Amino acid sequence: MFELIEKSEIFNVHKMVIKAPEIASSIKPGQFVIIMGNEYSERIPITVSDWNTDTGTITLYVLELGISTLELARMKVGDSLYAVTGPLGVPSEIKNYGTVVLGGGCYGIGGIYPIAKACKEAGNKIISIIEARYSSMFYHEKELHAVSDQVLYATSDGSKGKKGKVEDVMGELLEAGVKIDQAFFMGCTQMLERCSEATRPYAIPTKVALNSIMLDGTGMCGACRVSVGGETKFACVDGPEFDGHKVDWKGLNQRKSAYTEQETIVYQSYSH
Amino acid sequence: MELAERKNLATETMVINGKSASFSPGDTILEVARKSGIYIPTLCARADLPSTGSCRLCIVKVEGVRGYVTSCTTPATPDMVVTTNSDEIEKLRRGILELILSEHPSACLVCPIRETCEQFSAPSSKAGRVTGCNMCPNRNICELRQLVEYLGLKEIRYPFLYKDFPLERDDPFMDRDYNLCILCGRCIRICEENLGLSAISFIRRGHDTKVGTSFEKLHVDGSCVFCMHCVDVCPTGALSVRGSKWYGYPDSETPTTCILCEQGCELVIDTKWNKVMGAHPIRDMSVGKREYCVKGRCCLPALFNNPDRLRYPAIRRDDGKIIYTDWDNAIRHVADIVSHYSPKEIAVLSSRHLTDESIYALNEFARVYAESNIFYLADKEIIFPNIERSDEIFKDIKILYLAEANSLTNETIEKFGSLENIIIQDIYPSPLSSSNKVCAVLPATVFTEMNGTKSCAENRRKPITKAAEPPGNAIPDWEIATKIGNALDSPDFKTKDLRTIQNHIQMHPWTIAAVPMVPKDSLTYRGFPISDFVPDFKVFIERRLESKGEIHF
Repeated sequence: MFELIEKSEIFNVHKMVIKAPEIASSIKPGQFVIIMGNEYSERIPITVSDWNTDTGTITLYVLELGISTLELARMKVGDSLYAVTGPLGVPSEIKNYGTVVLGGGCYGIGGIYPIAKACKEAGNKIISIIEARYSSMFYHEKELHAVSDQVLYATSDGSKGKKGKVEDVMGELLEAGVKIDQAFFMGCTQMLERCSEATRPYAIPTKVALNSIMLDGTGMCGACRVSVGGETKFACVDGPEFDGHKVDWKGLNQRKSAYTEQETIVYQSYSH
Repeated sequence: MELAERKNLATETMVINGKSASFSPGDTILEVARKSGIYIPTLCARADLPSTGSCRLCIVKVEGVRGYVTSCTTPATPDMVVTTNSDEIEKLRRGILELILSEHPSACLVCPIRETCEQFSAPSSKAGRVTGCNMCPNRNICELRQLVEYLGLKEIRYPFLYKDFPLERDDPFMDRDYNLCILCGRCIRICEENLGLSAISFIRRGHDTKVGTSFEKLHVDGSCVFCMHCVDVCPTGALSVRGSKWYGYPDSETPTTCILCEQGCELVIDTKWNKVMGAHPIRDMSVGKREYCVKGRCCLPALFNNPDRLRYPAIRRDDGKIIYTDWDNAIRHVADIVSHYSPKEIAVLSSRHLTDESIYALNEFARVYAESNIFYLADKEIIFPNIERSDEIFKDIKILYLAEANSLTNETIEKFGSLENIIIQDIYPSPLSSSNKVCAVLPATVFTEMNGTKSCAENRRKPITKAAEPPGNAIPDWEIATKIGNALDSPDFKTKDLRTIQNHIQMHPWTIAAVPMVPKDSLTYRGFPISDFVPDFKVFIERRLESKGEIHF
């Protein structure tokens, strides 16, 4: 079950193509799965970046950020994951907005692809903006180009596109008078917050895919709770997408580092 | 060189930054500057290593010499006039640093949002492949970052060239990412010059140059002893101790003595969240000048933080059930049971791994309440210190007080023909804990959780300093033995606190001197195989036996 069909690494981002026919045939853009490398793993929620109903596979981009993702990173083609649960979460709202900007960083470069694809099919004009530290860190580009009217780049060292971040590229568009009707952002919490602040003055409807800590992913445990517009929401069943202008970023950041001690100590008794 | 001659030469002077500075022959310009309190930036040079002049950051201007010289390799000469800092030198240093950083993932170093990013995303980012500072285990002590700040570098003009070496993390204990390496060669020098091992060297050529072992074997299969001094001197995050790489700044650093064996190496314990996070030598390596063994350097956090540690005193109730209780109750229970036996029916198993104070307190307990029936187990050998005894006495023993229960083999247990009760005082549960003869299990501390002293090889008594909090309600062995001894209320039992014990040890040093030492090659702590709690130590032992047929530390 859940055999690893394809595996490669692009600068700490691990592409994992996994055999999961039931998920592949039922998943919708914006949804995620919770995966476990082995029975002792932490449960890691991962956005599904692509799927293929013919081969019965799903494509995930997994960042190595701790022991459980380290174990995933060290898996080889032919190995099987212990568990892949999904599809989870509310699918993205796909309709004809007009011009849609999708911003992605880290795993979000792959993560925005299915939303871009679906929005394109719904008749939107798609502007994809992706950021990385260096030009060599981009991936999933060909697929993103195929579903985007425009793909714009931002790099920290200026080696491709604009030197800066997604919001810097978007800022240029807005200053040039480009009308954006809907924005989606996916990436680290810092990036989501910065991008949301960038669209706020222009009152652009902004959806951000949150990446809080999760356990069951079905709304039972409450580990993923997040305050949105003063209301407590569960990222797993009410999200993962929320209004970026209403998220309590400070609370989210605090909750994300709640287990730093345990996450650090587990390395002491870890062995490959 | 004769002292008089040396003294004479030591009065030589030169001029640094307009001020006169005296030096001894052989001193480099860098050494003279450091003695005079003048900072010169360096990446490859360290006071405790021979200099090679490879990073070029320490360049200075010497009057009358064309161009600039590396201060770490240029000897001072009388009347030399040196300038260590000027706009031109700063500019050159910035250029050198830019070139170094063009091959090091350095986008974060000059990123305008670095601070907020590191405050929020860094604590939860424990990356395999490091692409920037917020994912780097070394970010808190990185010398590259310190230099970027010192030189005020705001931009790197050269395109970034990633070396694309595979991550090296198939060795036990050690992670290596040579994509972060700046080829300063400190690791090679400390291994060769200070330790005489030469486990690593520069391999390959040109842009492919990297640090590696011969034939690029794993370190565990080569001559590396995993002392991790290379990690200690690395100015980047290229080398790291896997189990101790992600805690950032420790809350405290406590110098103490490692008592896993008789060597008693001085060790600094890094503490965070009140737990042992790492152990390393004192920062200036020239003081120690010998390698640490993998046990003290890499095994302590996993050995001491295992969740199976005994936490709360437990006693057997009248109905046979074992229940947790507080110390007062547990001590009363134990004292009550012990008081039903005569001294010749009681025996104490002490442990070579205990501190002097704990050994003394158990000795005192045995002297007053157990007719000095105290013994040690050293590799299955039964040792009675102080007194002429043999295991003949075991057949009369009805109650055993064990401070090293896991060492007791079934074979030894069978020698106790009429055993009725067992008191266990330990750090981990052992198979014996489930015996129905056990009347109490008392949680003790490990040496990083207590103060005291330890007599090591060559009769050196060394300080043990508390660096971490014990789990649950565990207390030091000397305290447990003292509490039981006092509860039994013999006027002959005079042990009270650490101070009185230490005074008694001063007066009766032979009580400690007679205790067998733990040999350097020991693979256990207090009767427990270290590899049971440190999985990478198991890997280390297995691979070493496979490739070399033997293990030495």
